Amino acid sequence: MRGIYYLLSRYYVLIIFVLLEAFALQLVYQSHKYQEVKFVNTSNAISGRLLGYVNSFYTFINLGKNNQALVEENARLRQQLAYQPGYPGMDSLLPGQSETYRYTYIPARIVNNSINKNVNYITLDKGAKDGIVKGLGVISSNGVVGVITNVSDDFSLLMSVISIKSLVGVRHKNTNALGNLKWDGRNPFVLQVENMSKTLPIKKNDTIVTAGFSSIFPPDIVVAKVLTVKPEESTSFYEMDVMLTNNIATLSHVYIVKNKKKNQVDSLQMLMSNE
Amino acid sequence: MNNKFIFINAVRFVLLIALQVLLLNELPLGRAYIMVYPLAILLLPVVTPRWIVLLLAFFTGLLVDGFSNGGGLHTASITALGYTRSYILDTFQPRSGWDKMAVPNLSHQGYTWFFYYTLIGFSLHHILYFVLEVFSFANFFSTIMKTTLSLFSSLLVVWMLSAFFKRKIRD
Repeated sequence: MRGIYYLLSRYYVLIIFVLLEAFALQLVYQSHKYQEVKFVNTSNAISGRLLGYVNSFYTFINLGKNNQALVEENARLRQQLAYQPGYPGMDSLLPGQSETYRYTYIPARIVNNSINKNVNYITLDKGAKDGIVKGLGVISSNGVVGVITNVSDDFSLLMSVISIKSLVGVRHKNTNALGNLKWDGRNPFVLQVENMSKTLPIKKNDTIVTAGFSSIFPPDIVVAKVLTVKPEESTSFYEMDVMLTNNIATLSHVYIVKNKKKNQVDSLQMLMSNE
Repeated sequence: MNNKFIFINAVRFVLLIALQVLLLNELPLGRAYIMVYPLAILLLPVVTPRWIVLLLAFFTGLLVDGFSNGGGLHTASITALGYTRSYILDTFQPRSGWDKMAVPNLSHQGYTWFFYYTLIGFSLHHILYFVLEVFSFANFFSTIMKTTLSLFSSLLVVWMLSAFFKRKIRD
């Protein structure tokens, strides 16, 4: 018994350290293993609110840029609207007949943002109360942003495409070739597209759009422009660097994409993968 | 004097953590991640009991993690710094040993001493942070690059802050 007391009095600092460090490393291990940050994150009410106040200031700094992006989007939408048959009364299109009716968009504001980690999370000011669930895609007015990983009552957390764990199915617009958008963790302004065959004529400045095969993102959303493209030596694919069309670091407003048929698509794909 | 010490340190903790989570985390620098909050641990008075330093470090880490989705990275690295701080201080003690009222800061210890002290402390914290972040030896050189860039940008900010708050000490 005296031995234990002696050990405790002599090594209590080391013991506290080992306990605390083990707890911290457990957190690190979990954050590497799972898609979402489990224990401490910014989707709670306190940090979410506080960061929200501060971020309204950063939003203000980037106001000009964001307005510009929204104006451009408006112009694009107006143009599309002009080509709609039966505009302004859209009675000719039955609900569900058109692809566009499968998706609804919920606008959200960015509360907290980062691009300087290997896995970057963005906090949004919409949560479970607004019908947000895990796994929804998030886009901005001119590109994709990421996928929702955590949801609390009032806030949600999304893993941005600038994360080494992120993977988005994309398509080369001219040739319809499919590939994956990934990030190697180096330069947050340069992403990579994998699995595009060397035989295809892909050039610099070509447009990359979403594939739309997953139930997360709608098809044909412009994602990135090709920066450099060169054939990989050992495989039959291109090595491709791309630049996102939206600047995620300065975004302030985004849209959360809800797919009404997500459950159907997911359960069908689940069936396929089980067989 | 004791109360004044506690007050100054508490204010410093709050300001440094606020600076970290409200400004530095939001900087769109990309390749460099400026972290200054370890300074709050390094500047605690020398006589602070080790277990208090350790607990303060742990909760600072949790707070910064909670505000930046760090997933335990800040907690793990700052707790390790909190534990090793006393050994760093032992190595860097003056020939006559530490005074009872000694504070390991720029005003009291001078530029050279403070340079090495912060260099060692921040290196330890930053290396641990970035090694835990990648968790593997993939992209080894990119990790080294990121660590070095972040370390020197952090130290630059720390030295500027310290020089700004430097006081004349009357003996």
